[in-house]
Amino acid sequence: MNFSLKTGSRVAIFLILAILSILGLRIDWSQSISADVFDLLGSQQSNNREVQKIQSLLQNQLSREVIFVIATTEKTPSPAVKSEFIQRIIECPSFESVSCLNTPPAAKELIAFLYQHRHFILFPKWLERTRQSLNSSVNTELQSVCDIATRNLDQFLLTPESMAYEDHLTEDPLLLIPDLLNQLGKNVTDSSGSSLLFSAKLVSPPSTPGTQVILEQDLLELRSWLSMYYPAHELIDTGFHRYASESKDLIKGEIFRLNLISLFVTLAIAITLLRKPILLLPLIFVLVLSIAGALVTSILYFGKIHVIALVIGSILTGVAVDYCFHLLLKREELKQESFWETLCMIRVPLITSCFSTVFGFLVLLTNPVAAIQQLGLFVSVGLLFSLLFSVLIALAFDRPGPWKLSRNLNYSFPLRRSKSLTFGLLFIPLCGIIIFCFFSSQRDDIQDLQVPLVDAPANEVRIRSHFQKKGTQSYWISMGDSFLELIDHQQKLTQQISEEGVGGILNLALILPGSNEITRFLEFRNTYGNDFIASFAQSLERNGFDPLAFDAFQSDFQTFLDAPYTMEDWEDLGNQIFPFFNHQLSFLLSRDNAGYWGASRVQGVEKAISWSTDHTFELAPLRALNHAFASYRGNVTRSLWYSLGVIMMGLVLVFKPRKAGAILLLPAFAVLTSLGLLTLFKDSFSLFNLIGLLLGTCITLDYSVFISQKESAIYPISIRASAFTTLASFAVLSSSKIPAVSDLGITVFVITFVGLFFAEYLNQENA
Amino acid sequence: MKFMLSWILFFFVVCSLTAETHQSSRIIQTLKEANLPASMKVPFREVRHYQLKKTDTLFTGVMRILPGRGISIEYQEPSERIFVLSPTGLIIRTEGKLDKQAPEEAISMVKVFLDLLTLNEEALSGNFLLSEKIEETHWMLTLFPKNNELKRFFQVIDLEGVDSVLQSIYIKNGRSRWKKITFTAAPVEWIPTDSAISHYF
Repeated sequence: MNFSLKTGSRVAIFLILAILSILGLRIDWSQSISADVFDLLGSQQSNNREVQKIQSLLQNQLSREVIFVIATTEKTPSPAVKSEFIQRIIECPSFESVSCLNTPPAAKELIAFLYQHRHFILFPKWLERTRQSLNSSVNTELQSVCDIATRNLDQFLLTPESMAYEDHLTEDPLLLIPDLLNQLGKNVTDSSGSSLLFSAKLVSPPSTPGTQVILEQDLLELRSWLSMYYPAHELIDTGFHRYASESKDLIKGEIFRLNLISLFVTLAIAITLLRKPILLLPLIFVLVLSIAGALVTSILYFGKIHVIALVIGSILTGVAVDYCFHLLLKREELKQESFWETLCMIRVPLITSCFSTVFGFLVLLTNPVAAIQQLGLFVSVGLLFSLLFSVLIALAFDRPGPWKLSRNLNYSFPLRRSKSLTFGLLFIPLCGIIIFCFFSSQRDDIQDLQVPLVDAPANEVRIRSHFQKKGTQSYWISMGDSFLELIDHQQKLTQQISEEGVGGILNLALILPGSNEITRFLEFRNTYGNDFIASFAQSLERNGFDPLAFDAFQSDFQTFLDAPYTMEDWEDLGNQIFPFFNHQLSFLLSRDNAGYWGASRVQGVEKAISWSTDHTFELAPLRALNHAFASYRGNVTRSLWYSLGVIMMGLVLVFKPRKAGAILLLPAFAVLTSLGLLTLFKDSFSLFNLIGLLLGTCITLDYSVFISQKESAIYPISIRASAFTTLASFAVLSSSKIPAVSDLGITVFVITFVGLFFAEYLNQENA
Repeated sequence: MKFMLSWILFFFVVCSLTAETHQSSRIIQTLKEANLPASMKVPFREVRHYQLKKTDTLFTGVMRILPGRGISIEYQEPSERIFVLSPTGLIIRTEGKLDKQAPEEAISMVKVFLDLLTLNEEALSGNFLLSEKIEETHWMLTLFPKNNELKRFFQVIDLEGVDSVLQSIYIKNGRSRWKKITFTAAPVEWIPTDSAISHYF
């Protein structure tokens, strides 16, 4: 029997290893682990429209932009470096386009298009602005408009730079294009004279596998070229790739550090507690296989998991050994002859404690936050593998006879029970929950899931010092189902900002007409029609111009007036003009399945003001993502309650309700007390404190189950071994630089410590 | 022998055809011999004529030349502007506003002015056909652009002067547009301070 059990266990171990190996080989490991912040949250469809738009912008546009600065110690950069650098960038495989920010955006085709259709596109806006500056009655409106236009032309010719537009004056005496450039030029980014600024677009986002490597190579070559041919110049770059690269490196380092230290500490404690160091082998075996099994299963299920799940999953190093400890040490405690006999005696508490935790964490799969789903599956599968391998290894290498394995575990708890102390201890959880309810606060910050960065933000500050910006600036996204609706929303924002007088704004609504302006223009055309040309000619004559020189304009404008344009023609302008807005200009106008959207750049606003509407919101990625993150708190809290409900139901089913209630007292005391303690030392609670509560509850529940099932008055030493390793590994986690991980670590540490304390004391009570 | 001679002759003909002809100008040589200070300033008056306007537009200002920096044209009336012409292009400076960089297409035009005012004979003869007319002390140097890019900006440029003094530059654009820059006084040496350099360049 024993022989067949032993053989069967070994065969089972072999089979499982073989299956895991085959499955592991099928995985493309280079693409299975993500460090992309976008993979932390739920799918875009689960978020509101604002967060969806921001996620899309971040992933598709902002993450692909790289800003370069060529700074020099000389007064001005070398004249040739700009064109040569642009040529070099174009030759790099990482980049698809580049433009220099020192000069106005490369929009020659757009300006040419606007010039060709200047009356149709620009005249309604020009007319609206001109009429707003009038102070005349309706009867003299036409004449006043023409006089203003003529005066503007005269004033324009008095500026030296008017010579740049001399060729076009007879076709555009209304100065529609110079007016447009003037509006845009008010908000053009300028730079200090000693640096050149470039914006380059990557072919694919830095998170795409392989992109980062090629990009690093290209950046290295660009720097080498610059230092070789222009030694007085320095190349600085910034962009999402810098943040992604530093974040990835730091998280990798964190995973390695946490897992290594946690493993080392766990094994060190095991050596201290066990008489036979050889027993470390099965412990290591169980640990490694549990983690491997959890990793393979999670990746096969999700396709890709975020590296943060691996970081947090390092908690397995502390809890996966528990079942192994219970099996090994229970044999000594119960004085059994074999592991099989031990297993028969402790199967109920073993299975109950394992499955209660497993089901508790499986409920997290229902949570919309991707990182939390992955964590739930990773931990639950890891624990299942841990139990399975603990049992199989114990049976596979079982040897008959009594075992004396433990040392340093049969100590006496220093605290002696007394009625007053017992009564007093009952108040502690009560105080804990009161402190928590009144003094705790919530914190929802997506950056909790990232290692705090240093180099990338410092580099960003250095880059920004080369931009001469007037005060702060912010971007506001407006959306519309139609093109005109987008322009109308932007006009409302522009009007609001103008009324509040807080800053300058750059958006399409500055140059393109909205539906109101088009309506008023159509009324103007119907009212004055051909009189405009004649009136304008008279005004030119009065102001010293030769009307005959403007034949080209008159002919073109007449054609424009005679054309049967309707509102739909201006709506169709969106289709015609959209292709010109690429690269740098794509922020001004873009479209997706939902319609059109465009950004407004607001400059000079020092304090936060909200102009948000249903169709307009600020492009504040961190704030929007944090709002999304905060919205998940309700989901996570519900998930936790469901988990606890599942656990309680399981306990009631396995034990009688009265006994189940008694079992639940220990974790309840531990959690409530810990909440109070944590509130005293922490200023706020994050989602990962909540998850730590769940895990801590499950761990202390395990202790409670084993205590309730013990056959003698002797305190189960396996609980001590389990608790010490758990405390050690979570102490390591609480030292993590990643706030989410340290929150989880400190929460579980405190609950486990308090749980152990109460378990030891309660055991005294039962003595 | 005949074969060798014919090859030698062919070689010289080809060389003479392919070699760039550097058209030298006595006027430019005379101007160079004027011994003007390297760094100088000179007041000017600019008249612009447009067919579309019945009256001409008059600008006045001061031009400054600083070797290594370029040329600064300070317009004083009717509008105050500073145009900074350098090999990197044209910057337009307005008091209280950010500098504007002219598009790269303007560089070729800027270069012509730089060559003109710094008397870069080689560059001028490379881009223009030079025609001289000298009558005793009075002279006129006419430049006809050779390539289409320059013809967009200039139809013809006339430099007029007496002895070794450049008095005016007349630029004719197409469609009855022209400009005439007249130097209203002799250039004087200009020794700028650092703040003046920052202001004008």
